[in-house]
Amino acid sequence: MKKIIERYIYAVTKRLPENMREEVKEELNGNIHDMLSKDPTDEEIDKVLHELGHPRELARNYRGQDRYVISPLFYDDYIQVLKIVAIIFVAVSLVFGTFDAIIHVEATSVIGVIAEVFAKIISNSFSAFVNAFAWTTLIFWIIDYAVRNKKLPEWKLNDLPDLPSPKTTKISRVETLLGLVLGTAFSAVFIIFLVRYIDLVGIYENGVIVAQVFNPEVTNQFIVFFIISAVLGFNVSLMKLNFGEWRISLAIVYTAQELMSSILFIIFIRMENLILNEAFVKVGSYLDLAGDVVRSNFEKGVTGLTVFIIIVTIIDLISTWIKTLKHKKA
Amino acid sequence: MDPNVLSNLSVELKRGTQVLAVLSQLKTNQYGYSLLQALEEKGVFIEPGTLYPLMRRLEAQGLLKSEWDTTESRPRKYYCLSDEGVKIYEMLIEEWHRIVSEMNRLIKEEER
Repeated sequence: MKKIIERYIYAVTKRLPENMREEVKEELNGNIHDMLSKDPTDEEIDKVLHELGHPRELARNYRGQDRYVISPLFYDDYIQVLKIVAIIFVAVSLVFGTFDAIIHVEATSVIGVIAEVFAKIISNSFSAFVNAFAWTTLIFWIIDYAVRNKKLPEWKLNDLPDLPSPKTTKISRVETLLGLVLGTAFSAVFIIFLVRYIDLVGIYENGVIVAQVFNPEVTNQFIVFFIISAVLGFNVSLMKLNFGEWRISLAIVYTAQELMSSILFIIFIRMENLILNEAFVKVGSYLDLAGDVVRSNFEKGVTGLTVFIIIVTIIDLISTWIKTLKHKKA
Repeated sequence: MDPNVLSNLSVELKRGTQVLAVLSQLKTNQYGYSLLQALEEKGVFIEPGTLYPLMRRLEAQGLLKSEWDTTESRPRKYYCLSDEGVKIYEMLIEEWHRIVSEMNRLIKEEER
């Protein structure tokens, strides 16, 4: 039973900084034996050790200050950011995971395929969540550690967040978040598609590609622009979340981003060599038409699409500006 | 009423007075358990798991000084007030009296 006392003391001291251990051990040992009679029974030892409390609790008292990964000061911010990051990570992985899972199916039976796709999607989402958690926690830990034991910097009245004013048009959080998630996911899929799978798009005969549709020489030039556009779009969505309402500064940024991405997309679809000639010829051969005829009809379609995109963008921007300005009578 | 509310508030109220209680009994040398008993005799009970670490912390803050007595079979660490500790103790007593009279004034006003 003597061993029990040593084990109790060890349970306390192992939770303490190294330089305290030896002394606390000596002192605690003395204190415990002082509380016991000369020849203590097991029950007596049990009672005294329980009087001292849980080793974890006692160690905390000895240490004197509580320690945190994320201190209470940052905890609320941490939880809020974690929620958003987790939603984005999981949504992106859902979309990309589905795409990836469908492309790289190894199973042969229908049930096997379904099971494999679902298993991949679930495991992807889970690891995306773990990633979101790990990165958010790590970053907050670093921030928290950096400012620990320092007084918070002086804050200015101007730094306080503005009250959401009833005189502006609210931006629905759910809508923005959904847009953010879907937008990011779509961009990610689109870019990954351009980078990795572009040459899989084609006309197949008996499982063999006979004509590739897109010209990688053209699409490759666009990758960097689409990435920039996606990052900008992502940031504008974050701004929308942050502001929570339409304001002039936000509307300007949103307009710029919307115009840029629309124009980029229009340029992309109107690139002369975007579609390879072999694709037109191949389609023509199915329809008994010359490749040039197919091409000119395709180009009419592109023109129609261009007009459509322009109209949609303009309507969106006009409605945005109406929402922004309708309360600004003053 | 939740009985925890009362006991939590009571524990919080007492916590600040524990330092004063410990300092008051350390004009002479005491080791952990003897201090526990000295307080208990006067009707003040501090959990040993709170008292022992508290003594160490007060020493680290310079209010107490300590020495190991190794003459007996088991070494004991004795604590008593340092010069700094005496000064601070006296100032804390003044503070205590001030708090008591302020509180009394408030509470009596309420009773009238």
